[in-house]
Amino acid sequence: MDKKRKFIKAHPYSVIRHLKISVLLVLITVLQQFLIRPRGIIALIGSLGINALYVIVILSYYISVYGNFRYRLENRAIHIHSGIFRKKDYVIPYSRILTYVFYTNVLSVMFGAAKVSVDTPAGSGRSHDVSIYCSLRRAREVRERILGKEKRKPQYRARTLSILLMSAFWSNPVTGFVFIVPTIVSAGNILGTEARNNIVLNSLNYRDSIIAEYVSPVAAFLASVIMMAWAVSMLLFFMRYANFCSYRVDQKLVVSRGLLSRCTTVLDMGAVSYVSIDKSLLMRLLKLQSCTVSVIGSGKMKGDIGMIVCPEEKKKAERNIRRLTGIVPRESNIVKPAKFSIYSYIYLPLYVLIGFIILYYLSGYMPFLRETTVIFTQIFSAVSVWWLLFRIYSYRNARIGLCGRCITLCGFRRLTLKHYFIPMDKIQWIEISRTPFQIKKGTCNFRVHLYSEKNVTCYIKQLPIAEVRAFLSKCRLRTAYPAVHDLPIDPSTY
Amino acid sequence: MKKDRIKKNIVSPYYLIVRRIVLSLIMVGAIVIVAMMLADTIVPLILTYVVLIGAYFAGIFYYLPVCYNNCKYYLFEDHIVIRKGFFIVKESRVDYSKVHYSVISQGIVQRRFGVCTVALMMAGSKQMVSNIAVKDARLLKHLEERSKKDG
Repeated sequence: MDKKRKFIKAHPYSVIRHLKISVLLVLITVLQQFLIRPRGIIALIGSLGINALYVIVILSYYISVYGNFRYRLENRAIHIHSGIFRKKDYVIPYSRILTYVFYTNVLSVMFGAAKVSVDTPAGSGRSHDVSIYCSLRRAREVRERILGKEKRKPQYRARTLSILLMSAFWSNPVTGFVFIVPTIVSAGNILGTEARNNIVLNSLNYRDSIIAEYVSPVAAFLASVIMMAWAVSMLLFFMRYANFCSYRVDQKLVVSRGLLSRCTTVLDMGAVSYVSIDKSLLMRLLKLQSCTVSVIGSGKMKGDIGMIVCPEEKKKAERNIRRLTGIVPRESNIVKPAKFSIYSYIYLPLYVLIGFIILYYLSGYMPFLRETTVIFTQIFSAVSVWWLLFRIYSYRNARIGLCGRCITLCGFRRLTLKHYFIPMDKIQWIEISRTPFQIKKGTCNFRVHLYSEKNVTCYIKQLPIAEVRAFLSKCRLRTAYPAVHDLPIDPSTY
Repeated sequence: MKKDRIKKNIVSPYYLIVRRIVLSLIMVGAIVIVAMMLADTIVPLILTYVVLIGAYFAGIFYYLPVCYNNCKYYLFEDHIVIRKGFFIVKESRVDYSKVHYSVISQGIVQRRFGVCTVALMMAGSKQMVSNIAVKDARLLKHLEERSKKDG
């Protein structure tokens, strides 16, 4: 029988954290009044009115949410009562929880609070199933219940340099926009110069004078905004991944990261859908590779989902992957794409590149914006060449194979080469699709559907069908379950 | 199959009245919003009211009784059979062992009549067992927890 405990209220920090926005709202209005346009006290109260009303409504909502929230950590399950008008009663057994995430930041630690979020396979995939604001002591209690009381040293600790590189280039979502910056600046300058020349040569034109005066500074401003966004994004990413460390405790994998706000994720290794070794073309040039795992629930975290090893040199990365997941990346029974199928890997970047080259030569015949087009096509041709090289690299590395009780797939997703290691019991089904052209050529597309809330699939193009069939029969020998057509027809004889 | 059936049908007799009250409250809200939006135009206002009131009576006297007649929740030792629908009646069987966790929720109207809704959360989907008595919800939760302990 469960030891009955009292229901406890959430930590008051769940309300306090909303004060940040409210204080900002009130402060902005007050500062506006005193610094920019000073007015009398009545005008100040008047302009504060809407913000104050908003703050009162928001805060009273969160106070009533806090007042109606109760939780109890039972021996077998987490029990939660919540809801203002519609009362909800959650019972989540510990046996069904696959991911625990513990969040703390400077402010929450000052108030002695932590946020504990849990995820089960029944979650929506967009947010955590349940989040509780509790005291640090209780968060520690939950953590000890999962990981035991013994303190462990991290088995892997990421280098600051690799996190800096990661946040500056391949993991930074604004990196792509940086390529546009030279185009914007030069286009602005060229347009400005052309307009000024027009003013000198012809009579004074209102449109040209505006262009001459404003386009160049606006372009420079836009470029600086993009560079600022890139720098801010890099800083945020660095803060999120600084002090990255991971370690294994029996069947649990613990990943901890963050500078000012710390996030500790506890994943169940038994529920890992796949382990993936990731390489972008830049990482390949720097001889680096990183490792991520996918567990249901870990998909709610933004950025590099479920990263367990940051970009490291091959040997170091492989050693840490072996230590954390038990996977030795050695494959057998490898099936590679057919030799003539490189076209299906490179056709898209190739056509884009050809398009830019044609545009570059046509720009000589353009009556206006000639120089802008030249710069634009030169930069984007370089990007297309990079894309093309990546696709050639991914074609050369694309393969499926076997590694112990895992199927391995090496294919590309966007601009990253991903080498998946998928445990056979986590495969939901394998899809082999063939277009009429592929039927003629004897090739197929190979897709593995995984156990996940986001319908994750791993995909390889243009594999030879005969070799894939032979590969699948070898896979079947390694699994505990016979294939459907291998079963006897009469179930009573089985 | 009949041996392990625990209860025949656990839909509360208050099912109809609860849903009628909820529909009436929605109707009141709709009337207020329409009155605010079309206050200056008499003909569209009257036409909208006619359509709304027609839909309301069709809902109260036809849609909800048919839904009530089609709605059946058969409780078994290891699974529940949920049968519901209006045009297309769907019957689904949910094994308790496949349920990851359950959520019992009670709105204001439901609290007045002692009924509640149980959401059975499974991987990839959820099944709602709505408007059943609180004691039946507890029984359902007990069966689900017992199957987890046995499993």
